[in-house]
Amino acid sequence: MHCSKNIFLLYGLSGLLFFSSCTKNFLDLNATHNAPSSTTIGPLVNRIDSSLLLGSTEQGSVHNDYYYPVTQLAATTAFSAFVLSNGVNDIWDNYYSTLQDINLVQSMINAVSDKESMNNIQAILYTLRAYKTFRVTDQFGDIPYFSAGKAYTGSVSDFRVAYDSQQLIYDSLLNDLTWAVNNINTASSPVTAAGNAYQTLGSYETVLGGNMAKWQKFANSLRLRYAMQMVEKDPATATPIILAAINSSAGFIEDSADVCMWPASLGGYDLTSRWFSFSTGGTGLVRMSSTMWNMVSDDTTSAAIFDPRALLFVETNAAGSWAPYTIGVSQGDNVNAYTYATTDPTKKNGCLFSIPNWYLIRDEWYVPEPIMTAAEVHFLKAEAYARGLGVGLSLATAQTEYIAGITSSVNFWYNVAANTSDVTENWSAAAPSAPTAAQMQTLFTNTKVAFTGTAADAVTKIYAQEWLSFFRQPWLAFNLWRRTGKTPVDPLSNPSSTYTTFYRLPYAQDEAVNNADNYNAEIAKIGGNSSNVKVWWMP
Amino acid sequence: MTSPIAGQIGLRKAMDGGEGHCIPISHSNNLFKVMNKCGKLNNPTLRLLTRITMLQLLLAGGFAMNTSAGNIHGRSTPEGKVSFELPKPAIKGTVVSGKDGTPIPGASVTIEGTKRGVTTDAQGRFEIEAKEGDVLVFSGIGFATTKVTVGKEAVLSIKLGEGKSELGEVVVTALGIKRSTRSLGYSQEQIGGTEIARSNAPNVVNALSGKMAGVNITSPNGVDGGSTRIIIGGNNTITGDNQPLIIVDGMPMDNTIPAAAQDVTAPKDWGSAINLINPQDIEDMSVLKGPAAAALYGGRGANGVILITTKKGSKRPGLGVDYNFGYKIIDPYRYIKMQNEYGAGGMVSLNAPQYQTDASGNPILTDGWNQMFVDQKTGSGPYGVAVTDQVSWTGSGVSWGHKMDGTQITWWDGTKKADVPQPDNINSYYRTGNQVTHNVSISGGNEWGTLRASYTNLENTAIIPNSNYSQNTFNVGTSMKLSKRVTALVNVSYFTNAYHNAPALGNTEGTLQSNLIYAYSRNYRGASDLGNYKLADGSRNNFTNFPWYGNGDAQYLYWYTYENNETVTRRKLIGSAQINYEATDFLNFMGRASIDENSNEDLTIDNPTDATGTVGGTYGHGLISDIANNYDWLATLHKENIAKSDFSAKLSLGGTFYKRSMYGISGTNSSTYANPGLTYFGNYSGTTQTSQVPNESWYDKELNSVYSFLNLAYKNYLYLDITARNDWSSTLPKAQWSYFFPSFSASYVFSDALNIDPSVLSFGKLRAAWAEGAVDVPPYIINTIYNTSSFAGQPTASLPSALPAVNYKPQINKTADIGVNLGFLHNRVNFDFRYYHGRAIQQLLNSPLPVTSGVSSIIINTGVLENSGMEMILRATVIDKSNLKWDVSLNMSNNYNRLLSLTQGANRVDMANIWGASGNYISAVVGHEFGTIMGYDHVYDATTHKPLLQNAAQLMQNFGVDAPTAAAMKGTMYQSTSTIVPIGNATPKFRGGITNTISLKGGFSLSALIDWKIGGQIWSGTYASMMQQGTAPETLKERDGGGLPYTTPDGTATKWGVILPGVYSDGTTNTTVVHYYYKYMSYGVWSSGPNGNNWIHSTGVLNDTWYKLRELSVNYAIPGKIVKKIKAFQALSVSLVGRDLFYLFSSLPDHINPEGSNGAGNAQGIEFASLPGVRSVGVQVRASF
Repeated sequence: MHCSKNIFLLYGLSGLLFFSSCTKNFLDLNATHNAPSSTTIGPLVNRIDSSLLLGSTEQGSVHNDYYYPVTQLAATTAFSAFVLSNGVNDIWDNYYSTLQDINLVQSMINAVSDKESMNNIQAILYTLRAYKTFRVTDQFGDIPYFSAGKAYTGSVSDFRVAYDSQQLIYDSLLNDLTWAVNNINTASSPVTAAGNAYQTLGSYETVLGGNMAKWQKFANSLRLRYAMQMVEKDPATATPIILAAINSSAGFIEDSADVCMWPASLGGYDLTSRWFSFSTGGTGLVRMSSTMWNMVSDDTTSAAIFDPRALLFVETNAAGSWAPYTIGVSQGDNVNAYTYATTDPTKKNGCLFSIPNWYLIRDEWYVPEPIMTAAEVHFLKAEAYARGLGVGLSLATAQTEYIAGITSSVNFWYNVAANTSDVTENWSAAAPSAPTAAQMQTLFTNTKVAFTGTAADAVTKIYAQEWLSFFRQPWLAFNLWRRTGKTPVDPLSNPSSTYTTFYRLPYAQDEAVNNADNYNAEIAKIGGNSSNVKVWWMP
Repeated sequence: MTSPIAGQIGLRKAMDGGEGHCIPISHSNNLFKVMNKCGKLNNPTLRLLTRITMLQLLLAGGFAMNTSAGNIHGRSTPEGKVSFELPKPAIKGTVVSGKDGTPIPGASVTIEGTKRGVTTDAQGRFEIEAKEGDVLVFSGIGFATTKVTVGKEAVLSIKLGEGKSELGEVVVTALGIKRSTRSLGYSQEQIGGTEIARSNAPNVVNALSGKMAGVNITSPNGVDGGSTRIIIGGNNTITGDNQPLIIVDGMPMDNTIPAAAQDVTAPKDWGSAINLINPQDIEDMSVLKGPAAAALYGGRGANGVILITTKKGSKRPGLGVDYNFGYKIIDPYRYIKMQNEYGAGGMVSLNAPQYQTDASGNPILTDGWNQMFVDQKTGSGPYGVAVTDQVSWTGSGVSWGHKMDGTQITWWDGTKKADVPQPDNINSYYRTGNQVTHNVSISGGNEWGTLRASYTNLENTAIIPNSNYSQNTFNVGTSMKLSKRVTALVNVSYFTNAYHNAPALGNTEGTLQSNLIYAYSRNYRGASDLGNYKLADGSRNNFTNFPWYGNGDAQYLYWYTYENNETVTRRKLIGSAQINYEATDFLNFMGRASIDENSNEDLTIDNPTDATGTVGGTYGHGLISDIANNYDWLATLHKENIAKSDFSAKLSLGGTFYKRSMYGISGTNSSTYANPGLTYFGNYSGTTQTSQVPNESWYDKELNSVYSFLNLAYKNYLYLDITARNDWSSTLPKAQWSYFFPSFSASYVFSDALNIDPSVLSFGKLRAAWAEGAVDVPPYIINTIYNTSSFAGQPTASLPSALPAVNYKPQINKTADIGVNLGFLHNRVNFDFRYYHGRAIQQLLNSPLPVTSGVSSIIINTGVLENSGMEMILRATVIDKSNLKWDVSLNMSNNYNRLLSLTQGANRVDMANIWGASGNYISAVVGHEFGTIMGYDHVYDATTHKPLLQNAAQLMQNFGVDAPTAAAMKGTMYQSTSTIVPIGNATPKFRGGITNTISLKGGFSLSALIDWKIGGQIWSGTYASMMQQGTAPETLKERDGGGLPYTTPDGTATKWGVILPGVYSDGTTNTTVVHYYYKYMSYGVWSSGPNGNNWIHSTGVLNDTWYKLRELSVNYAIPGKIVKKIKAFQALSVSLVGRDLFYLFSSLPDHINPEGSNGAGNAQGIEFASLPGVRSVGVQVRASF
């Protein structure tokens, strides 16, 4: 029986050994091999930075198919093969996946004990969130915002969230921007009251290179843009913000310091989406609109061009003529003008009407995607002074800003053209040289441009030039058109109601399927998920 | 270790407790079995003792004894004395299968009315002491019990007919423990290796088709070497694995069906590990049904377990050599039916179809894609509406064109040909496959143990050109008696399998079938259209102007077939070493170490398509090393007749340590090669490495378990089992990685308990079981990981778009299982019924979330899946004569598998889909049975329930036509749902099989298995496509003048008209006669309509019921007398097996393969381009030397 006892002992011991080692390696064993399970604020913010680029389907199906013809900045001969809902998904997915990362960064900031040390990072995050959120709410109206993008917390109540009113979103974001402007510390090595150094993003912040003064100006400029966007609907809230922005010591985006996604400054980023959106099979249908042409030229001869930007924005048709497309009137030309033009700008596939400048859309290495330009700031200020919004009415100051705006825009695009010198898309060699002072004077004195007439005339001209400066930001032209209804329209054009009542993007279909209750409540509130429902700030 | 004294005590105790004070001691294989007591044969063995020990023991105990050379028999007298007599003359003989004459090892031979018995060895031989007049009872697992009265003959040759008997049968249960079936409170079936080997099935699991109740075997397209889906009962998980655990000699073997084989669109099926298991090496297979039977395997057994025991040889004089030769031909015989009257042409005009013409006006075959959709004359489709808007995108093979009436036309290659029917293009690609198997085994044994070694070579040639595989199996099994108390069992199998070009299935242009139903018109001339696939300079013939390029590549069928080569080579070692130690009378220990080591290699060489040998080629190479180890130990305390009561008990405590570690690395070089034709990763021109960056894969898992079980028995008719197991899984979060499973089962043999008259009921048993199981998760998925990339030269990080669950819990299954087992007419008729009901809660599901939440999906523990069903087995020996025996075995099962709930806000989980949002889904829908087919459907009128047609306003809106055109189009188009809806369900209602076996005197037997599937639907893409494209025979009706009077736009009076049955929104019934196109346009293959006008998929949903002659075998065991005359052999048998011979009935039209569902994953019910039906006929010769 001793033997048996020994056996029991042996089993007992091995059993103990077994239990003690039974879960020892589990955590290591189950660690994912090819992806990190933790991260820090820096790479997250850089990813948020990267999300500022426009989607290719967004440009193809939303900008090219709708915003250009709606605002008449350009025309399309037909709908492209892009589908609007895909463009909507592009915008929707980009925003909400980014919002989740923004919320994650926010929770990391919240976890820091000396909050002040995070002020600069917090301000950057607020500014990025405001910029992205304004863009989306402007396009859709009410959107899920305050509780959105929080699925990662695991809280079931965050899985399907309700829609928030655009007005509340506006108020909240403008507060955030004000906080950012007021709390950015631009000192070289700031220290908190508790004696800790301010944390920075270092090289992870790639859009403005971590330059806090630029961030402050960007935040302040955004404050001006969005206060102005709501000024028709809620002047009581908007005008003090306009005033505060103009009076802020932070200043605005300065000339030649335009906030853009510059591929050349983004580590040589290959910006393929723009060319894709214009040239892919079934597209390439965007044409120069008669409305836009009227604002840069007096007739269809080259000599009649008075705005130097015309030569950068558009080019002649396949036959070498300036041939503007009159929306709702012109016909035919249902061809992809860029089909055969991958490397050769002269191959226009026999297009009948003038098209956007090949270099402007073909270059993938230098031509930027503007986020907010100095020109826009000038025009916003011009409007504020011309209408006395927040600041006192001053047509003289308005004129100064108006001229500065046009000048800034012309310089911006001529700088772009002069510096675009990729081997295959050498715009610098093909572009006209920068306009002379005389040419600029011709522009300023053209009756369509000259800042003359009544205050109302002045405002109309400000809108027109601001609109023109948005040639590659049709979503801003769309905002301006919806807010003011006074952007240029060729009286000969005859746009269909598809374009004249296109006020918003319909919500993504994903919402109807996966967030049905909240979605249904929202569309009942606004009167249907259609594009002719006005967003809150529209008069 | 144990001394003879201890043994003596045990013997004395056994003697003292024995009824009638007798100690039967039987011998077999030079081992003496000491029976526990006189009256009972069950729970038989107390100990095994060597003869020497026995002698020592008896002598030490002071018993008198007599011995003779080699035989000894001891018997106690009623007075309590033990006397030993010279043994009586023994009866010798062999027990063989009445079906095919193969020896039946392990059959029990007992003398009726006594407790004496022996079992047969591997050759079916037995030797038992019996006197004239004794009745010998022969029984074997899977065979009907046979009784023979001992006469003058000392050598008997016994043939057992097939059948089942519950009496005294011993089966392998969980953990490899052998138990009497009467004691089992759960459902389990066992099949012998002989029957598996004989079935000639594509793999050992396929051999179970139709033979076991509720064991559902699906092998998509029935291709040898392909994956087999095994489901016992129903599905327990929506997105996880529902297949049973496979255990080979104690080693759990990974049998994951490769992802490529689960795809429903274009599966590519290299088969799973079960294909490697060699049927010749199998001793038996046990199927443990449901969680209760498999409770000791914890979560891994939730779907049931298949236990495979390999052969270990048997004691026999000298070395036994067996040779098996198998040859079968695999014949593709059931080709799709297509019309052979009309050729290429789109649905472009409502006038009579015309040939397209060249610039000179001469008829041509077709210009290719464009004029399939646009009428050459009008530049548009019917009513001026583009055909693609009316019918979505049909394939390039639309055959609504001109009659193939012999007109001389310009063929695509520029030659002039008579346009004549090509009825043989449906079989132009296939060939007769074959399979050759050689198996040699050597086995032998002596008092120290037994050994069997075998080698098998299999060469398979598929019905697809340039597809074949070869397989080698080395197997060694041994059972060794290391000492009187220690035995060791060792089994090792090593497999190599080299599979060259597994058939590509479904929607692929690399094989004929999808081209036939999608890409090629009916005038396709088979290989003669594509035979010259390679040019003299070695480059690819691009078949310029070939019109039927399908999705772009259908003209390269033969290039793909011969020039794109992929070979998967698998090497597998699976083995286990087990030690059993009988410490005392009442205490055993078992320890076992097992390994499953796999090394897989995947080599792709797609030859360059250009003459220089540098462009268009692809070289891919991957290696996977996958090693799993399993260590078990088990200590068992057992006691019969505790304290002289009627209770017996067995208590076991055990544990398992399981670890699997897999790593794979693969790369692809699809660059332009620098060195022509050479295949290595560095072979690329230019300086930048692009496509060659390797992919890696991992799988690491540890699962540790302890378990305990208690088996209680009362008087051999009441049994209770309680099991408890706790697992610790490395794949779960720390707080959840420990989980517990209890189970209870009971068996009540009421026929014995109540002493029921055997002439009324010879056997009756009730059983009941309840078990709770839990299933862990795959490795890594619990981790929240970040997507990383770089932007502007700096790293980026972001949350993933699909999040893991926040708090993973294992899925919990709770199943109750009851059954009754009845035997009548001395068990000539056996009946078994099972009912089970289970719920699987906390399903781990990838739940879609709105993007506004930040992610598109999150894994959550949600969902309740209900799984209940019934199984019935009836076995009867209809005729039981010495010269004729007829056995029938029938099984039927049905299963009801329903999703009860999901998380709030979600009502379905999609398991798979064909063609994304434009196609069909297989989903689990709340409130529906598992396997809902989702797609676009008709919109039905609320009152008449008839389909609604589009009214004028809808036609105007959907097709952008004006009012007059809309009026002309009246009656052409149905309304369709705006989103996908349930349109069918793939779950069958009943499955079953019936086997009839007739055994004749002289060694002949004949066996036929018919199995069936009743109910369950499929969406047949083949059917929908053939209808829409005008290639189905059904589409001839109106074209051949069988329709309603219809006047074409050019004024021709025809009989081409149809009325689409249905109503309009205003309630009026449609009476408008329209062109026949519109009848067939409503068969939606894929749905991409304009302005929300979706193509209706429900028209392609078909009931899939079939009855099939699955197996027909003729076996002949050449009688021993004849064999002996030949002298070269000891035994010889021949069998002829036909498999999958034909369908007695199929509800599918046009010879669409009823078992052609795409993919072997959870999503069943989508068929597209299934292969022709195949049957095999094989011969097997078995010779023993």
